[in-house]
Amino acid sequence: MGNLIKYEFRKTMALKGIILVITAIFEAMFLIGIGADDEDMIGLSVGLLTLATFFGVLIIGVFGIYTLSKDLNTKRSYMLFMTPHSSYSILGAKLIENATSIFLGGLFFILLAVVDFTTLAAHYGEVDEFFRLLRMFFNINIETSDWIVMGLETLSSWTYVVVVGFFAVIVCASLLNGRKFNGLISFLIFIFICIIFGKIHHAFLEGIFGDILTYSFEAVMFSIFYYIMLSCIMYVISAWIMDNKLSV
Amino acid sequence: MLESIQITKKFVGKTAVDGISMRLEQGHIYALLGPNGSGKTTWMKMVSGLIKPTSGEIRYNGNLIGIGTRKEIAYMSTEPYFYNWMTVENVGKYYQDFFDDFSMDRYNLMIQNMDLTGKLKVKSLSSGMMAKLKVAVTMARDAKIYLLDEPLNGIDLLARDAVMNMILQAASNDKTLIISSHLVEELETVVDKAIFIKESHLAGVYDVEALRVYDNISLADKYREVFSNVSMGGVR
Amino acid sequence: MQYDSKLPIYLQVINAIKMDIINERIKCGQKLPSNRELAVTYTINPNTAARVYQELEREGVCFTRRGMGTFVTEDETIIKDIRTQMADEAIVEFLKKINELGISVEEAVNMIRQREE
Repeated sequence: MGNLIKYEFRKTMALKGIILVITAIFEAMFLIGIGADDEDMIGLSVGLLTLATFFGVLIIGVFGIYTLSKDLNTKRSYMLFMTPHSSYSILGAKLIENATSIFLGGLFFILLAVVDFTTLAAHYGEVDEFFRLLRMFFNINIETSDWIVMGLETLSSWTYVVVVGFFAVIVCASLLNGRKFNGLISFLIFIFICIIFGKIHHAFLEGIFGDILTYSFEAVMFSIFYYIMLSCIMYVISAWIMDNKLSV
Repeated sequence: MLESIQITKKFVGKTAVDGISMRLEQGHIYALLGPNGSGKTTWMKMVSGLIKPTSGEIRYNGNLIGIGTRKEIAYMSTEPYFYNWMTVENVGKYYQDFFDDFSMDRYNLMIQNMDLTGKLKVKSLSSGMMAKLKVAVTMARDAKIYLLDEPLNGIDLLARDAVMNMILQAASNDKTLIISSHLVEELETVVDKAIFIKESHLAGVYDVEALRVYDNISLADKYREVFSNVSMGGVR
Repeated sequence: MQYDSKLPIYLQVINAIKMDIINERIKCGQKLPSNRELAVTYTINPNTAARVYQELEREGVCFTRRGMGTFVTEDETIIKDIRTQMADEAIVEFLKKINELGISVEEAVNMIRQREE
């Protein structure tokens, strides 16, 4: 299993390198902007960094699904399926790689943001003011534990989305082997499942907690549980299909 | 012993392998012969567990083909299948990471004899070099069954000799080698058994030397007899 | 080595080895390659290689020392015998062809003499 995970990381290395380089360029712009007191440059670079954060994490997830698709539908598939590993390990390694990458990627961007905002505030000598503004902006006093739970919810929901993506790709590769519109059908299955389980999720939240718009610790915990449960179920079904139905 | 029992694979609108039953014993080199598209690759991929049969079963020493049998059955496909980013060295490392029976020493020795170097990118290899690499990395495993799909396809004479060399080095009493080809003459002296696959069906298993001793015909003659409807008469 | 694919491979390899012994490319008492080496050198099946040694041993051309390998016989009369035997086979082959051409043995002998001069 360790080796499988190792090679999954190797497959996504180039992409992560590209994201890192692009982020570094934006970060450099930001630092130059501060050095030159160029507010336009700072504004632009903060905007770009925000985009990089959003798309960086998104692309890592989507690329995981794309990698799986290549690993199922091209000659490259032999590399995985000639090894004496079950599909549970093969798929598990992919999931672990993806969840870890998303987590570390998210953490990286959060830390970068903290560092950048601190730099910004320190440069203009208004650290306290800055944090006061930040609190005002969010308009609430959120406990650290709440931040952690919300982070976990984001991570689990995103992992769940990736698992659904995996499932859609696997169903297409196994049951529609080699047919046309494989990619399109995968995408439709993906959207369909997301909508159905999304609706069920909402129904649960409304049924149990009433209002779904207000933040509540219990509701977030429930969501995490919901996403993890669904992820596990989809993972087991996907791996079973691979072990029993997939021909590469 | 490898048993193929009424094995059938149907794809959309086409039956690739149709009810093939046979037993393959250890200590032999089998040629798997038939025109392109006759079902050789599909059969091999079912033995290696890459393709799931529609019906029938394949057993190795009594066990159904599955994750366990991959430890003892080595498969080499015609097409290159390595990751794009890999070098010759990475390919060896990959096999070492996943197969307990892989010998890095043997691999390095073969690579050296093949005039390949570890730092070469697999993307940049010519078809002859790629063929040598594929055979080297497969034969560096100490497997019980080797399935080599068209190992001589598209390579020059010298590369062929080198590849045959590697294959013969690995052959032994406790191993079964299965080599597919649509070019019979190349395998004539090397194999001792020949399996003919004709239009998804088994068309016979022959002892190659017995054909020469008792019937005074070559494997190529037998091939013509089985696959061609035109009588060759006295013309060779 | 080029093979006649209609004739048994083991016989062709046996003849090649015998020829090497007669021409002293392989010496009396010399160690012969292992089964696998023979298979690789002649690009033949290992089972065919094993059969080659079995036959050579049966004819007394070589013998096996336990754990040491296969060796060419040191008995020179056997080597003389195989030389005579191979010459015999060549003559039989020759006569067969001559016969097919409708040439008598005397005629053939004359033709050979003429060619030699």
